[in-house]
Amino acid sequence: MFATIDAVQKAMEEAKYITERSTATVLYLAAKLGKPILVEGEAGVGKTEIAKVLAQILDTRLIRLQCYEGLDAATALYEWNYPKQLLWMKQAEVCAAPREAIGKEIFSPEFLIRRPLLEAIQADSGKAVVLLIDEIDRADEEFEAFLLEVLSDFQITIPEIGTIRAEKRPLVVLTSNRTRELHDALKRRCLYHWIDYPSLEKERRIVLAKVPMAKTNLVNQVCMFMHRVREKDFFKKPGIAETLDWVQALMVLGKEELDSEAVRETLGCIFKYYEDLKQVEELGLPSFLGLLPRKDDLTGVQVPCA
Amino acid sequence: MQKSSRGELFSHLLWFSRRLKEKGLKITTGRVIDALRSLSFIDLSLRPDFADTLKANFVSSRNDVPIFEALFEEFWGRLQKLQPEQAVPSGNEPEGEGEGEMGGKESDFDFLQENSGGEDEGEEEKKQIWSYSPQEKLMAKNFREFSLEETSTLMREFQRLLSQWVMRMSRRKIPSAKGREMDFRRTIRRTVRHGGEILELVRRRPKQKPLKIIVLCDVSGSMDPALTFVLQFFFSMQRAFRNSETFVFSTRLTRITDILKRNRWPEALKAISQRVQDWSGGTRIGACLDIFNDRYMKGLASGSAILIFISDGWDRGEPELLAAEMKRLKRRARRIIWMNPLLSAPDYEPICLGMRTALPFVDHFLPAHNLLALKSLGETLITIPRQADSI
Repeated sequence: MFATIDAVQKAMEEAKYITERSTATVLYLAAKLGKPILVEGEAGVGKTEIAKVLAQILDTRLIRLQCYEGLDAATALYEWNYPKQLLWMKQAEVCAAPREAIGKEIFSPEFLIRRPLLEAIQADSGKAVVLLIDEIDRADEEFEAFLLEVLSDFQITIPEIGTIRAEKRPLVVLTSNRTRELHDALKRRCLYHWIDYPSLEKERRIVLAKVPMAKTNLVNQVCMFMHRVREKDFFKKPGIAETLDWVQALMVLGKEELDSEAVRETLGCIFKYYEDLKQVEELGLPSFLGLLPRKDDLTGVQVPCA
Repeated sequence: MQKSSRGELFSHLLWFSRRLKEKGLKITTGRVIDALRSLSFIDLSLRPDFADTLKANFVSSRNDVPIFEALFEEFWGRLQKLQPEQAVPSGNEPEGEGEGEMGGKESDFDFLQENSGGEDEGEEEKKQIWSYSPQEKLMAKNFREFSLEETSTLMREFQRLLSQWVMRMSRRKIPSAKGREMDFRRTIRRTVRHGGEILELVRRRPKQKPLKIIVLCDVSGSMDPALTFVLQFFFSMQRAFRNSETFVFSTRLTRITDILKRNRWPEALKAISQRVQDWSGGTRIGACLDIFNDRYMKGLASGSAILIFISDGWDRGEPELLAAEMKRLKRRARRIIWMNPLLSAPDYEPICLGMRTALPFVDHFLPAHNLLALKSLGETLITIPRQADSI
């Protein structure tokens, strides 16, 4: 699949995912060992993106399972197609088919609706698929236990049909926002990777890769601003996703440089909580813009309050 | 040579994983084996890759990362100083060079000696960990001893506790004649028995009703100064259990649910102190309960709520009123939990009149002075059987 760690990193950069070598190392190992990866990190640092890029560079399908409270086997694994079963039974009645035969027929694979987990295990493309289990911390503990079973043997037993085994083990990426601690047993089965906010330089490269039309100067200013914002204690710190949104918003507004006015107009791209907006006001925008290169236009230069 | 350095790497890895385990990381044999397997896929001469590989295998949460990094530096850093090419053996080592081999052996010896020293150290450390784990200490530390700087540490601990509770609250469904949802799978299954005719509809309902918690916190003058931390806990709880309610009382009753819901903690605290007029005043529990019963209990609790009091029970009101109101409360509430910060004192007896009056109506009497006490609250909450959701 992958020859070396360098190859992984290079392929990812080609897919416009600028990353640390450590991320590439973990992906490489996951592919070699056939172990799932548990990716944790703050919101908006590109956890989900990892799986998408992985599928892209492996040129395979991405199957995504979005977790939520109360997620159960019927939505994650499989469900019977009830309307179809009912119709079939009615039809069989007309033809006066024997009862046992109907019972057998309506519980055959034909009447099965495959949900993401079964889909990933039964994928028949001949290539290992990428299975993304997004925000696992949102699902409840019982689902975790159930997932554990699936992830350890990559097989699923459907009472009416039998056991289905994965021909090619899917590459599994689990993401978590750490709203709660995951079970140890699940963690033990995974390679762990923590993604931090990117360094200034890395964020610059990410923005330039994702928004190639952006002016270098604007990107520099935006990344610097974000960097300073993340040093402060906000309720919800902006991630890379916010940076990208913001740059695009600024470009739509035709801004070529960052000044107080531009920031104020687009603050909603960075902060999504009222308390945070309030806090920015309290701290004063100049404290974030402070170190920015001065511009000729005087409106942008604010006298910092003492 | 190649083989022996592999073997050596293995023994070093075992040592390393043992040390990690002593530091509290969750190391299992399976993980060590996978780590070793991983090493065969990477270029061992690249130290960052080596570090990342071990990290991915051994670390299982963000909190483990600094522990891992420190120990990695200490362990493999020291080895590298001793003998770089063997600490991180690479394939291109000169083979069969007599002198090199001799040197290698001597250094091996050095390493062992060094490490046996390290072992003692490790043992000592281990003992220390057993008798003196920082986690345990934190759990037992009285809230009174926490400083304001530790607010964020506490907040983290609170969230950890709460996440464990929330995790144990099930959302599963079971079949029920009066359930709100259809259980198609069971319905179809049963039709088979009647030759495909749907004769009965199977319904299902959640196994358990979501927990409803109402907190009544005493903010009168007699209460502990550490109360802020207890309130902070209920602030976190309000976020974890969406439909819980929080009130504070001294001479008057004030609902603060909305404040806790909308703000971050520092702002919430400010807003509470602004709204609560009689902070640190006297206590009239009976009168406050009267208001609570009249105004809120019907709408909020309706037989399924768990009431949590945090109070030392010092009451300046009439005991008859308190008893009457507790009785009314008891009829409506599912359970009444009373958390008393004074209960931690070994010789504490509920002698004050207020506490004595209220106690007969209380289902669980718990301390409220440290994290352990809050943990026991969690255990109590979980064991309370919750009514199944009726229609």
